[in-house]
Amino acid sequence: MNDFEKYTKDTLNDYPSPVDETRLWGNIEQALREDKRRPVAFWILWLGCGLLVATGLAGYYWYGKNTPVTLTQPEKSIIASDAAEGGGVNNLRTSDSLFSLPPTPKGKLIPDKVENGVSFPEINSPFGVGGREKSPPQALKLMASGAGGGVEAQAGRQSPIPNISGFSPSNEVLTTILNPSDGSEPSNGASTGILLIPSDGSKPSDGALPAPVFLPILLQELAAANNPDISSNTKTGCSDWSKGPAFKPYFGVYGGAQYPMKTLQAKETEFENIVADRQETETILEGIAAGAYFGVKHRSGVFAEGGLEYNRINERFDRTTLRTDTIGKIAVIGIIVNAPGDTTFISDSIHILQETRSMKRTYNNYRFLQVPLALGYEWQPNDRWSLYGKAGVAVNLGFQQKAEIVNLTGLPEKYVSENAGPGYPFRSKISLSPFVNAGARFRLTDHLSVFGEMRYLHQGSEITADDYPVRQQYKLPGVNVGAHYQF
Amino acid sequence: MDNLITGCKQKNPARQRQLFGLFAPVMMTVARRYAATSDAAEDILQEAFIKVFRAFDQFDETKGALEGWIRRIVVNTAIQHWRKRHKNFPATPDEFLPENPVAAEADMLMDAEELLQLIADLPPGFRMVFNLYAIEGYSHAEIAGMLGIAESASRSQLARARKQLQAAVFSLQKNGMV
Repeated sequence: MNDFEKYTKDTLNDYPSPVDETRLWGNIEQALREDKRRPVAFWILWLGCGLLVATGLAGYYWYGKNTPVTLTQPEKSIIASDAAEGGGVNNLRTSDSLFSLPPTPKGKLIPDKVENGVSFPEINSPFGVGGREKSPPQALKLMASGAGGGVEAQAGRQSPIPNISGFSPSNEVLTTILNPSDGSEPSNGASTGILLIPSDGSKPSDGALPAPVFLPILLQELAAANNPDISSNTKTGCSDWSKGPAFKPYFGVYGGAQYPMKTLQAKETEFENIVADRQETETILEGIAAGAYFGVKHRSGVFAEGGLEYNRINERFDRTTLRTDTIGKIAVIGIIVNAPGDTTFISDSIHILQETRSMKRTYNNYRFLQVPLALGYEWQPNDRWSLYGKAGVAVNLGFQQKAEIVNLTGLPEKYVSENAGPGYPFRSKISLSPFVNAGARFRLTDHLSVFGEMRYLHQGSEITADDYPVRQQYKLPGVNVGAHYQF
Repeated sequence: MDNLITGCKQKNPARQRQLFGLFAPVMMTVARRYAATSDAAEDILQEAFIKVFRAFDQFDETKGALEGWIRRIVVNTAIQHWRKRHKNFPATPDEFLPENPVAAEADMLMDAEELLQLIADLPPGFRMVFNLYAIEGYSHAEIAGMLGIAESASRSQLARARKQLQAAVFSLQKNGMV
């Protein structure tokens, strides 16, 4: 620093310039007031998410206790006891084939005939689709023939179970099977639980299982009760999806690859060349995502979940700069003498220019931490497979950039978000990124399943600073695989 | 001052207004050093104070004076403004520039407004590097990092700025203006 610079610094250091304070403060105050409004919207969003989760949990604890149909071990033991007295229900152990029951024809409560000694007499259901408000049917008869004679069970809406040959469960026993385990009264009638099941296979509102699903379970449970060697899951190894409480919590972990699609736009014309240069040379080296989630699923298939996700994008690009330097001058001096003898001196100079092309290679590593919140629906065509879709927003909590700029003629320079100085082109702020997922899940056990899904996430805002002349933003299509555990 | 800091941390509007009134004139001088016009300087000052109040929670009085903290924010804001408008400026090899061409014997009778005008007349790149190096005391390596330019470019910009300032000072002296 020379004397002039020292003098300049000393003179200007505490020099007060005139300021229109009133006007400037008005602008500043307005900007600060707008800041106060933003957190309100932010808290509303979080409140909404909190309410969603709280509603799910409340539903789980409230409705989960009111399971419409519960086939529990104590009830099975009673039946087994009764069956032992009467004997002759051995043939029911073949009831695993009942899982292949043909679809129930419309207007009929149950299939006409099932093999392996269990036959159902044809009963015309008066209900039809959604016809439960009509008068109830006369009776449902279950019959199984066995070594000790036939087994026949009938249940009527307002009459006790009339006659079971070789097997005489009390009315109380059978109705216990058909009723909620806690003794409460189903909305559509307790003792006629079977009869209230729509014949079209749809689920009644009180949660009773549709006939094609319920009857095999009932018979299988009866068989299992009669012979403990028979597993209740003899066919698929997994119980029915919809069995159990109305709301089920779950969690899962996943990881996958993504293909970052970058939007790079110059906000000002003078930066378009830089952007074009970068786009031409850019290579995506890596795009990965990994996360965990927790949610609650309703029996209907609707679910809500939240999680935490780590997202990373690695890229490389080259930037070539053409620099022109003047490396010398040639002076041209001339004397022009015209005819009358006038003399004119001319002078000019020729600049010798040198063009230097230099290249920088930059490795950028962007890291995101976000909270995905989603609502979805899962469709379960059978006990093993399901398809699902979900959509939501990912709340970006943090962003970090690590970069290494390699000037091919020099040493690499490293940058990290936290250590970046003024003018740093990136910024970390909370933003919302909408996303949609679709996938398939395969059940390994009653609780554990694996899944594969496709995901598309659209970053809600640019990762570059607002005042940076280039806008950089990503769309992230990807594929995830993971494990899912349902309680 | 403690009450002022506490009030600003609590986002008390009256205290914020008081702080702005206290520091705005001096910070306006800082902004004017980096800006070519008064309007641009006001933009820098306004944006800087918005940042100050938004980030006031982060101010730690044990680590330094409030004025220094605000000054750094004003300078950083000025740099961001400059980066928006002047991404590339020409780099000249050092060997074609004099090492330290500003006359040390420059007349010291110039007042602050004249100095500000001299600095404002510098080309944007010269002005930025001159301010950061000569007034703020940053090294060329630091300036290169801040502005996203090569260290050699920072050196050459400073040398050119000095040369232009020298010419301007001599011109003023020659015309008897200083």
